[in-house]
Amino acid sequence: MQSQTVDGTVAKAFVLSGVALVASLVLTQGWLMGFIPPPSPSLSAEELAQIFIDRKVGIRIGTLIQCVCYTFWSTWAISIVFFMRRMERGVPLLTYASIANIGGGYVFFLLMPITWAALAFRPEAMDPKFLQIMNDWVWFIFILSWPPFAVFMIFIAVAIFRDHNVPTVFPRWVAFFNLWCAVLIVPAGLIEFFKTGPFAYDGLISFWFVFIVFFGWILVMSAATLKVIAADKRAAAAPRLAMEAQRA
Amino acid sequence: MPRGRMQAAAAHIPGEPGIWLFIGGDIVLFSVLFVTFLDYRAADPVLFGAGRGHLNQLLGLLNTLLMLTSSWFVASGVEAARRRMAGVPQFCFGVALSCGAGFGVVKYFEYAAKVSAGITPTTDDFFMFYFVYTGIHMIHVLIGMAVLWALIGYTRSRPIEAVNVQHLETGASFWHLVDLLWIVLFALLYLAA
Repeated sequence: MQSQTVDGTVAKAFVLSGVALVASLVLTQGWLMGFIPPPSPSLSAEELAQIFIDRKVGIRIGTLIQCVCYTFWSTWAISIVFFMRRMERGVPLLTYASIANIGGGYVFFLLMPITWAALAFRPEAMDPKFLQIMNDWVWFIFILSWPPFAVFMIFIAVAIFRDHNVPTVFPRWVAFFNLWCAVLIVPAGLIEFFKTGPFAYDGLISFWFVFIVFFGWILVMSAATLKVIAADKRAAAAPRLAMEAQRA
Repeated sequence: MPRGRMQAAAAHIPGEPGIWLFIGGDIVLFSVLFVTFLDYRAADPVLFGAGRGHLNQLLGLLNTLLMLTSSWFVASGVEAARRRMAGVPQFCFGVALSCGAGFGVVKYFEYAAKVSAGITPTTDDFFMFYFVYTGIHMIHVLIGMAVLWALIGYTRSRPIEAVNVQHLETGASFWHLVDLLWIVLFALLYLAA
């Protein structure tokens, strides 16, 4: 189908932008800002304010990089949607829904660094109580915003299950993998109820587990999409090679 | 059983391979949850012992029986489809679905009794785990009920000869997972001292 040909080079760049997003997360949030894991929600306001005062330069540099790299959510996610379009017949409902969903998703991604940057702008002059609330708010944006992302995973799974191509564009295990991730990030919702323990926003389940599953999902989907792009390129080259062989 | 058939039975993996990725993945999640629970319990055995004392073992047992019954009916439904017994799969999945609903009703009364006694997820660590783990499991029950509902629709909408048993096995495997997780939860929360 000529109309649904995907430019492999652009698509590949889009996929790799997602890998860059994950790399930037480790570099900025982990190393520059020291927010992997997050500061404990049970810290006092004064202790938390001191963290922002001590780390303000790292936070400013980190958030600047994040503002660039977290934008890649949209470029990365859309690389999957190119291929979803090919799986759907008729009005591509899942494709449309995914595009709308992705457009909303990067707002959450960008709100995090923007809020942190504002907190690191003049942390000495800020009321620690206010800073504490705003810091909670960043982690709530980060972790409590899981539903639209889970819905995107379900869209991907449904598109693969209903794929009319033979063989399917993505292998079917990718669909089950997406469903699994959608279920696994559900414990993120628990951070509203606990300030300590495994379900607090710095906890083993609600932070570490959800975090590893979500960003692991980006990496696994990147690998799977790169494979599809490579297969696509081979398929496009096959008729051309056959024609050249005929001519020779 | 003749040798050849035994080998065939041993080699048969029910459902499509992808569902086992999902099931394996979910077991990873629950393993993390169980180990976390054991770690916290080891740190405060007195509190966890007292918490367990507050649970209603009878309701827990009732739910275990509902889960086991539903699993038996799901397995029987798949077997009936394999033998091309028209109408029987829908009936079996329907009974399993009702057991799932019954499980939810029992859970509702259990939660309600806890809340009216002033026990909530923030009471202590034991009840944090109790509410969160049984809650996550309840989400699985709801998803499983949706799967059973889909299986009923699938078998009803086509002649029994055209039913693809592998599709049924995929859904049934998920329901067995829901059952399995509950058995472990029941032992861990209600029984283990």
